[in-house]
Amino acid sequence: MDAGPRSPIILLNSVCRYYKVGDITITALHDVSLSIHSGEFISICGPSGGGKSTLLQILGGVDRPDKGDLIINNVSLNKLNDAELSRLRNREIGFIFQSFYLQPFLTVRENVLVPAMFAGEDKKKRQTYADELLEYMGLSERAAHLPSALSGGQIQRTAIARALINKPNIILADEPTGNLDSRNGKNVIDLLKAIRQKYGTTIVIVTHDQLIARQADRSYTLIDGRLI
Amino acid sequence: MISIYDATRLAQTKLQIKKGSLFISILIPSVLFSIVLALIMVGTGLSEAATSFTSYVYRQGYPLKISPVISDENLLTYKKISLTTADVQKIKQFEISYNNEQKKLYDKAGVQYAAPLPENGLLLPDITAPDTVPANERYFLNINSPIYGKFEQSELSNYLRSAPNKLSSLKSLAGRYNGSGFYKSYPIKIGQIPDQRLILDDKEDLRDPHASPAQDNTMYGLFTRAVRNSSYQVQNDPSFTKYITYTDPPSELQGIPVIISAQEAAILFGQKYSISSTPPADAAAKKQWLQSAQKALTGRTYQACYRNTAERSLVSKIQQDTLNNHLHDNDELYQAPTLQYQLPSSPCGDITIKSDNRPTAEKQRELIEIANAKKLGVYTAPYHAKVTYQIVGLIDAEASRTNNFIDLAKGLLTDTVPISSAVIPEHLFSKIPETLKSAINTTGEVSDTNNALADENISDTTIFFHSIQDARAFLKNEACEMWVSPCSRLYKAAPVGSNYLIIEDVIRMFNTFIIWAPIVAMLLAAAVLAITITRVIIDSRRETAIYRSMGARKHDIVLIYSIYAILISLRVIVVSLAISLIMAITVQISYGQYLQDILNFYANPQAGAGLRVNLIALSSPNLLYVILIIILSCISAAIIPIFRNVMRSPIEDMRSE
Repeated sequence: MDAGPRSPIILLNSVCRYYKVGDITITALHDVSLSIHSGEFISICGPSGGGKSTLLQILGGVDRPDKGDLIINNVSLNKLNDAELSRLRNREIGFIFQSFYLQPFLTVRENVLVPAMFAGEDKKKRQTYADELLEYMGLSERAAHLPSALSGGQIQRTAIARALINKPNIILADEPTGNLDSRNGKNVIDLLKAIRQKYGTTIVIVTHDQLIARQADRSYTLIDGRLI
Repeated sequence: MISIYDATRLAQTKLQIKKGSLFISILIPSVLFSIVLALIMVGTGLSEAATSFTSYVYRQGYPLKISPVISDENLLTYKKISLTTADVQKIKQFEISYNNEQKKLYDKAGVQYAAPLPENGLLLPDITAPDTVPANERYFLNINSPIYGKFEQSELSNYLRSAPNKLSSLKSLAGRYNGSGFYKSYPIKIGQIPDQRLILDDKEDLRDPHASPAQDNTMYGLFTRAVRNSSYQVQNDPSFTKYITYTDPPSELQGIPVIISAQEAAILFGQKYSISSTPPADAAAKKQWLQSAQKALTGRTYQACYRNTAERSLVSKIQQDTLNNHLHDNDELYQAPTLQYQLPSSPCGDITIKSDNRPTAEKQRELIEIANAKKLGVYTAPYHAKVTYQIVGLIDAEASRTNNFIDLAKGLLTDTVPISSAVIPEHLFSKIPETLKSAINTTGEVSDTNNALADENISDTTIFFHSIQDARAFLKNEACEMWVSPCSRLYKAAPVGSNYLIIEDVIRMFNTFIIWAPIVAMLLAAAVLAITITRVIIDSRRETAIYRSMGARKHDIVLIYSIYAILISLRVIVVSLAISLIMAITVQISYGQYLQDILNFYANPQAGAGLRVNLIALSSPNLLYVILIIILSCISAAIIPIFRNVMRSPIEDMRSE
């Protein structure tokens, strides 16, 4: 429920995240505050070890901040238990990983349907929507194939379709073009933009590629845990 | 929440990973479990076969042979040393009464009575007794006294009169355990019929049967020489009825009905009918041999010469005199017996005097002794008569022979009653014409002990119990085992025929064994499974993290990996069952028919019993028990790693990847 006109869909308030490595405490995120509105295309870039993936994982509710708060759709994630957090991840967020992480022994269609399985969606309805997504991605003819029969670009498009199956409001992409060539990488970014256009999905992309970062509506840099 | 169908689909993907090592990890425990399963199948088949065997054989009840115990403590004759004052007085009183009765008898018969010499008395002074023994107890019982036997008999009769284990008491007691059908066996007043000499090929065999060299004194050896050893016993034990193949009415019997060993029948009479004297080893061929023997020899008669004690003494004297004469052939100092007899010239002929060189006085003395014995009514004239026997049935003596463990195992199943004598079935014997019976004059042949026991109705009895449990309860509560000595109870008892108690115990032990013994194999198998499943789940941390990032809840993860563990267990079950069935089928093909032939042969040698042996028995609940163990092994192996996986924060696994 919106608090007012264009209230942020994602709101980070002074989030800190620390890790202990032996006796040493490493600060992955230091006092990060961020506000993302619905339908925005945001990029976060920075050098390796800067805390980008940590920030993405906190945004996705996979990790919890040590200090500060994350509010998604006016819901504070700090107040959610594990089951509620899981449900929020399933309904509101779609993840795209650098290494795709498709199930090698599930078909393309089945891989796309995995998040819907956890949502407990009606089987027929989700099949129909999966086929629509696959058609949109240009993968209809590959629906019954295993990932081993796909090209890199096709694999990534499958992963994108998987992230969209539950119609999330937010897509979080962690280096989505990292394992692709430049042409496929461009295709993926264009696809994400098109999705944002078509579905109004908020897209947050983590990348070290400045060219890709510049294509976003807003771009942030994360260096040593601090957002610039 | 994820549906079971979807969770199964995701679990199935795990089975595609590292197929080779997964196959090995499934195969090893499957082989171990298959051995257990095959053991259960074959063992259950054997148990069922044994149970059906005993049910068939004992369809009329489970017999126990029960022998009343006559405790030594009740009989003075067993206390030959350490006599009390009362014992001494009792013995003295008996001796005085007996001698007085004898004097009266002699006086009545007009025969001069000679008082017994002191050294022949029942009591003799014990000069070795210690000084602590009172003077009136320093005696010992003289077992060489001529009247010792009478005293022993008197003691026994006195005890038996009030014995607590007569047949009437036994009936009442056994009735409480659902026992019925009381069949008395030895002693019956007819008793044994001793020392008849077989007449074969028109020749009477006058050799001493007990002097044959190297006689086999096992039950088998005795039974297969019963006719030649003149070992007969009248029996009314119904266990022998099934061996009777004679079908004509008893009134048409031409001889005393007898059941003998098939082996002896073949040796004595089989040659004429081309029946081999040695039965074949193969069960099916043996059955054929037995049937041929039964067909050819049932109804065949043979004769023996019955000679009473007096005549047997003459035969022994002839043999001894002949031997002595031969040994002293060239001994000039040797004095041959003055009275010598000669063996009969025809089968069962008269024994005649060969030479009588006794002085007249000696001859007269003998005549007087005979006259006095007649007056006293104790004279038994030499008597002989041909006795005709008719074979009414054959028993395979092999069944009771135990040369090795296989024979022992067969012996558990065999229904043959252990016996060492030829059997005269009492129910047929009682119906034969008197002319056939009267040839046997057993007066004086039956021991006084047997008579006393028969008079007081104290005898070995076969009782049929309604169930194995009833028989077992009687044995446990009321009797000692036959081999127990001394026995403090009133009876000793043992199963008749095949030892169904042992068979039941073996079946019970097997069922216990099959639950506990394979535990080691199953633990080993479960350990291999646990290692496999644990490894797979630990290696699935990244996958778990990915699923969690997609919104999977903890119980979704638990469900997926639990189903994975169950899928592994199902594979193990299928492979185990397949291997175990192959094993069981192999055993069935190799041994099933053989075992079936043996069981049918022993259950009913004549016609078989229609028993079937199936060593691929799938009816045992223990099979389900093992299958359950397999499933539980897999699930329990998965519990801890699944728990650890879901309790870990997904970020830890993502970071570690």
